[in-house]
Amino acid sequence: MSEQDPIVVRCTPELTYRYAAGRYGSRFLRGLKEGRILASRCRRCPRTLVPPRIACTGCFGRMEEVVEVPPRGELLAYTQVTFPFLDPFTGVKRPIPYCYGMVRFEGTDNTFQYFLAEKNPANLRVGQRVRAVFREERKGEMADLVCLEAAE
Amino acid sequence: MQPVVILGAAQTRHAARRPEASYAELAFEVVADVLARTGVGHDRIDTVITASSDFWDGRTISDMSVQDAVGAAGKSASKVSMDGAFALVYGAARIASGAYRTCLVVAHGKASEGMPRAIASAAFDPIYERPLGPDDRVALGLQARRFLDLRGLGEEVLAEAAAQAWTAAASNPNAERREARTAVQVSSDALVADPLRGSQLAPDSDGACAILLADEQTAAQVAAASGREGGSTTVRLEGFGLSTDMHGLGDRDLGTAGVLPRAARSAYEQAGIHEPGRELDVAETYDASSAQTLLWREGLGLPPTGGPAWNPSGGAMGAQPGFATGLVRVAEVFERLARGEGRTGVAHGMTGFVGQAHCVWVLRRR
Ligand SMILES: [Zn+2]
Repeated sequence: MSEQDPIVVRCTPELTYRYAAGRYGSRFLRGLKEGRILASRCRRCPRTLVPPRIACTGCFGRMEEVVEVPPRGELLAYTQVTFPFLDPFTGVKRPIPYCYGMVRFEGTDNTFQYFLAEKNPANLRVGQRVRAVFREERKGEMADLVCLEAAE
Repeated sequence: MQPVVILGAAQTRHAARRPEASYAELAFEVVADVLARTGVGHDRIDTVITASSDFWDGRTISDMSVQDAVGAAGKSASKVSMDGAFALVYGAARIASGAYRTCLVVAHGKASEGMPRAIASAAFDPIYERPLGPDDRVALGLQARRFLDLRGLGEEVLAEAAAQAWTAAASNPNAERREARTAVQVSSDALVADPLRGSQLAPDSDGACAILLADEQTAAQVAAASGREGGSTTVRLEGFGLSTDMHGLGDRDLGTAGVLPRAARSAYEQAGIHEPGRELDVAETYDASSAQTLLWREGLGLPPTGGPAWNPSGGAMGAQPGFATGLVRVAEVFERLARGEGRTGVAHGMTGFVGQAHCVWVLRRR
């Protein structure tokens, strides 16, 4: 280091979090364990949202009902992830490239984002039908839902 | 400027851990509660101000992740990343300006989800201070030592103040600490940051608080619609003061109340208070340690004994839900005045270590 170099001090603080999934998020994750997609429903609007949550995005009412929706829907947007990325749950690099997209599950009013089985965006199209693929041994976590694959 | 009325307040039950609720769910809980209490519909809320910390929530731009839960979507919303008492300044300014008729101020904190000590440590200077291992509690220990030394006091005063706080909190259904303790009990647990013991430090809590503000005309309409007698139970914000000190602990005199007297003076002047010890009926302070309980009492211009009801909720020593803590002080004073327990009260919020920034509110029932 020369006399003129600016001095920078490296610091590596470590912060970990224990995010509460909450009442609604916990129901969703338990639903995945049973191989089911759960949504919250507001009867006033009416509106059905995945993942379920406490506040209705239509009327700000409390979403009282949690219902099962079919594990299939329509792909409304997709993109490809091409940069190296550490999975925040495992700390392991996820193999790239891969695609993820936004799907409107049947009977719902918003879109849910998840991994797609298809890795090449050239083989995807908006409006195509997709279905949820669950793993065999499920634990009540996001990884229980493997991906969304083409259903036609 | 428009006078600013507090229509209502709501807070959660604060606890060391609320793993069953996400922080958005805690925020929704208090917003739904304050709307139900006041009979004000969500469609009548003009603007929403939230107080949250990205570090505490573990979410970048943490206000955005609670907008749905506080009903801010489609409305004019903004954030203060400081204690909720400071967010109330922003909210009150929006009403005072005449640009908005109603404003919801919401603060939440969930200590249980992150690492409170590590997050506190990251606020210290990375070159000169952080290698020493400082955090909020270490700073509180330094402050308590300076406080005792400057006055020639013994550690027993810390225990006495802590015992009073524990005893008050025991009868507060929303407090985390719900058991009365004697001075002997709070002097027998382990030292956490000499001279402070664990029970002489505010706990880390999960909780949220919401306060609904309105202009006078809206307040009268809401009172009329609810069938209550309009005007007679109106609680107004009548004065506030803000003051910020030097950042470095070494550049402040930790043994004094620092810049708190400046903030208090400003609030008292606006509210026309000349003798706070005689004119105030209730005082609630953000005391992160029992040394601060004593220091902030002095800084607010209150006598060591007598004067207004002092931290009847137990203060922050009863529960410290992050940035909701100062807003809870305002809510506590409001509830007491609205119930007719006194006419004028002072609420104090704080941000930064050992009181770098203070916010003082005077509330009055008309
Ligand atoms: Zn709705």
